[in-house]
Amino acid sequence: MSAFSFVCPFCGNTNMDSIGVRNGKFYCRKCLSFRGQEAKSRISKEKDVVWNLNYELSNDQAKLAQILLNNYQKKKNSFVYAVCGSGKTEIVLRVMSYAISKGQNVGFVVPRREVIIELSERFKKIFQSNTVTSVYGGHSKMLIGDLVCCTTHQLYRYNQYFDLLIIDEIDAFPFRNNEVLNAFFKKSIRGNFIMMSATPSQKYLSEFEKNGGCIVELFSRFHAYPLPVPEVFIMPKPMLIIKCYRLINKFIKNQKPIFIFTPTIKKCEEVFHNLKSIFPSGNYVHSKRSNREQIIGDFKLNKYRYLVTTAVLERGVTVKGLQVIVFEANHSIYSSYSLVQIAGRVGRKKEEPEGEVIFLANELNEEINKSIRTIEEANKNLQNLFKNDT
Amino acid sequence: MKPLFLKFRVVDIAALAIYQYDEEIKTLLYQVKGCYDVELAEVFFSRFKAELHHLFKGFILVPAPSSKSDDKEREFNHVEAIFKPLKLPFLFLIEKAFPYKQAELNARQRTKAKTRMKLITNNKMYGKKILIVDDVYTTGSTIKGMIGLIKPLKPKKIMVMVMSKTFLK
Repeated sequence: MSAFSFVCPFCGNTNMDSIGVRNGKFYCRKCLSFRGQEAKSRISKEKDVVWNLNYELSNDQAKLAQILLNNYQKKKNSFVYAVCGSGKTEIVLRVMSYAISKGQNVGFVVPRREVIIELSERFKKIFQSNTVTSVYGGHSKMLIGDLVCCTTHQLYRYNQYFDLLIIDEIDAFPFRNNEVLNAFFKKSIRGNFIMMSATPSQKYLSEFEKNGGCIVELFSRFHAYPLPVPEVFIMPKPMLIIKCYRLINKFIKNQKPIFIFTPTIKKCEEVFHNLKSIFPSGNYVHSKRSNREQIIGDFKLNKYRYLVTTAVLERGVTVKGLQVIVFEANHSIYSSYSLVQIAGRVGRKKEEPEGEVIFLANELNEEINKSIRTIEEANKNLQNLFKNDT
Repeated sequence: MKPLFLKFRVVDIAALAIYQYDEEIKTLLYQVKGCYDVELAEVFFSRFKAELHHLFKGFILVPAPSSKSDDKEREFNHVEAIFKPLKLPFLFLIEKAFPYKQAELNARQRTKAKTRMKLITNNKMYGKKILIVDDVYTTGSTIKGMIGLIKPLKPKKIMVMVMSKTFLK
């Protein structure tokens, strides 16, 4: 062992600032929490795959599904650049079932725990004749199956394992800019990957293409309605909560479920405390709330009229007829990416495509402006798509 | 990390707790104990290591018993690593009579602590000053058990110092 250099055998880190000495030996301090049972390699035969999807794909979706399959068969990586709610999950079903039918190792990965739980339930319903295994914090006894659904954190368990790995929301916390998670992601793949995102950076896209990957774009929401353009209300801070009361009152009268996004856990509890005395039928969720899966489930069953939440519900959750209020939208924690993702929670289900997105702030900032420009741009693209169809 | 320097008593023995066991301490301790991050252990006392050294100069530190197999897998003893910055001598006087995890015992089980530990050396502790040390003080059953085993050795003085103490609501 050289006295001056060390390469972590797990995450590849070589930065001596994050390397310590334990019992006379070097150890990596960057990937400390990534230790545990590893998945054993498996050999699987070709098998039947039966899809169970009770709705049709749109023309755009079907076209893309075929392109993704062709790319995979040609051993190319793909990047799906698609708007929120455009049905990204549906367009990868074709390539996934192809890979499963060939007995290959297939994985679907997202950064957030709540999203993985919801997604693996969906996949279990779709691929009823195959084993779908979900792996996330506290739920890692079973690691293999025809389809593995896990959080990005769990990828450390899979070494040169996946023939096809699909990763959604790559720009979400904590995956974005995280060297360790990215290192384990690369290490887990022995075949090809498909990345999906609604808000990638231009730099990322051009590097991806340079490395031989294919970018596919899907800008129509699968029900062909535009993304809701957020309405912004600027007023002094003490007035924001009052505006919030008025909006919630209006939405509850119209029987619409509501998400109220807050920038921090502390603010989340504070706002809920203020709201619950006037509107008792609500709850709150954040990353430190241990029973949040239960609460989200109850909200979907209409047990609550509103949920006060942090960024934990920014992505991946689908609720019919949802209305969204972003409290303190000019807070430094909100990038234009996250504001676009939050707006994407609205109008997701075919039966109820329109809803309101309200930003409450005490002043405008560049991130709010940029998010509105992005959404208006995506909607213009949508209009252009329709122009070409006629 | 806000140190409390809380003085309290365990039976008739004077004790000192540096921090309240809250989410922050819990997270840091998990990284040291659960993720084997020995380099982080010194962070608890580094700010006032000189003061604590002088406060307890002449004392021998006796850590709460830990599992030998855990220490082997971790490649270090976490209590020793946390108190190392004090630059005071250690003596592993007491060990577990059989393997158990303190955190996994309920309150009732914890009250019979004395039966779970034993003295391992025949070192003469007569007339010596002993400082019992541990990372977290909850019911105090571990510390009480240790006091029970050490008192008969007739040291000159016994005191207790814990890095953190839980406060029941």
